[in-house]
Amino acid sequence: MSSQTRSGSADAATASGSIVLEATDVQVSYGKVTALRGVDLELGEGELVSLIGPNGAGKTTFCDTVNGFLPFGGSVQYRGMEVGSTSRDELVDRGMIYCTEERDLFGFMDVEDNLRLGAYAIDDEDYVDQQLEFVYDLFPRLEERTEQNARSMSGGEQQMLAIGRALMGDPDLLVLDEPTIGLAPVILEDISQAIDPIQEQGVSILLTEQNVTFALDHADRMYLLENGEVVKTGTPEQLRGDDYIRETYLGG
Amino acid sequence: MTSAANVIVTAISISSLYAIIAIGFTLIFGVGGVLNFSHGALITIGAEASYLLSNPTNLGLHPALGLVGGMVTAAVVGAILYLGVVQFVEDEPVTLLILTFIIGFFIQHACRVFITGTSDFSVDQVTPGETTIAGVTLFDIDIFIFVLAAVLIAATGVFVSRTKTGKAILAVSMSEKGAAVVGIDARKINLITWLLASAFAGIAGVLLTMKQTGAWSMGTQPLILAFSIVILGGLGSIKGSVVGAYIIGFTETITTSYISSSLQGFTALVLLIVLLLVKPEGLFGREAA
Ligand SMILES: Nc1ncnc2c1ncn2[C@@H]1O[C@H](COP(=O)(O)OP(=O)(O)OP(=O)(O)O)[C@@H](O)[C@H]1O
Ligand SMILES: [Mg+2]
Repeated sequence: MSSQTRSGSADAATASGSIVLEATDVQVSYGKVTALRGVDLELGEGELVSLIGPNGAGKTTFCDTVNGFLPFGGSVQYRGMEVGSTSRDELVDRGMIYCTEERDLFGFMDVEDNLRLGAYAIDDEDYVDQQLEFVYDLFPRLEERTEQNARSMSGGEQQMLAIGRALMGDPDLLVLDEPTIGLAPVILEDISQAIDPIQEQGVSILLTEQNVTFALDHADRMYLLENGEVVKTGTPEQLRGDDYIRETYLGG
Repeated sequence: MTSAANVIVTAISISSLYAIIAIGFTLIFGVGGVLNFSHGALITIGAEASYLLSNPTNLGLHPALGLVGGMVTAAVVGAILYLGVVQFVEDEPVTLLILTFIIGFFIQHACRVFITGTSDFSVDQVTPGETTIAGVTLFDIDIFIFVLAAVLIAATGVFVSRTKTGKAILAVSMSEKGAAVVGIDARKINLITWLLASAFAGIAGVLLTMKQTGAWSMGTQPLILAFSIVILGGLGSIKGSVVGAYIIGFTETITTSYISSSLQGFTALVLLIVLLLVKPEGLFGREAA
């Protein structure tokens, strides 16, 4: 981890070995619609795990669930804490940081205010300044427009800002819900190049994607979600060689 | 004597009070999405509390203590309202609208039954007396109201734009989920907003009583005006509320002084309807927050 702003997580880590996130038989329904039907997923220290699947598979539902936004059946443990009985502030405080599909930026605030609010839970001013520099190095386009309002930025810039804001929260586990959605190839490249430096900060990542190629390029392990169920898991090499994946998700 | 200067001074002091009432109303809406129809009752509560504290027939304390007491009482009632009722129905705007309306109605009637009855009441002014500036004689209370309101408005502006908690308030108003993912506790922020807005309503209630008189139903008219003001200025916008308050306050004072006092409340509605037709997002939209 990149700073000492957080207490207690070291104990939790030893208590649960090197597992950062462990979901067991997770079920979620919206009224009559069942969105997750018993999902198991494990994410280890420093890993980038990708959850891929088509529209409506339940990716966002899974991200919302592990971040404590939805009631669910089964169990989700983050660093040994049961998510269902932990407040969202506590999860953020412990370093589970969520970059949502909708981005949910503060539209009438400028780039710098958005980023600094990303560090709302952190009191260490030196860390905040240093991390701000890291984010600006990662996405120079943000540094060029520190005083621009978030809502007036392009989709790609907004995505960078959303990721940057999440990084300001000193993530231990970063949950990225479809960061590449609707982005042009150039911007996709910018996002792609940001992933290594983020991992070098010691951040574990849960990445959901419909862009299977992007996921294959970055993941250590992958889960294919269809209709609320995990139908395949494996390393990128294993999934690249899988006939079903090739035909359905990689265009033959 | 209603010289033009006096009308203007009255308009300024009334507008200043409308502004702090409207800021509270708009903050609560911006942050929690709640149209708080009990906001007027909080004005009444401030006034009634100051009556109990500083009217000579009651405790007879110094009017400044009545002002502070009115502010604190309204803030406490506002906090109880949020913690006891509003937070449980936060996601149901229609229920909230009806509930806050009923609670406000109930509070005002309780004041009528248990405290002041149907008669008007008064409290001594914090600053009695007059000052003559360049040949124009002003009531000190008008000057006091203007200065206090200006300080409160400026302080609110600095608070929301410069402090961490203030920025968190703006953050919640712009994106609840965004605020949640950075670790802002929306419940705490809503509570702070209710405290602030209710305190402002309480202060306005006391000052209105000092300038004019108080009555159990005194919060109703300002509530309707505050509603018009925040729509005029743009729901959720602080700058818009202040500008809207001055537009409504001046229109109101000038028409009632020069045309007919029976037009009270009417011109504000006419302005509102015209504006809704011409610029439905309000003068400032959300921009000025
Ligand atoms: N608030 C909601 N109310 C009712 N049903 C919902 C709600 N949110 C999601 N669903 C349903 O749950 C299922 C999973 O949706 P989810 O948003 O998790 O999918 P997704 O994999 O993120 O899709 P996408 O790639 O389009 O973002 C869908 O059938 C969707 O219609
Ligand atoms: Mg989704």
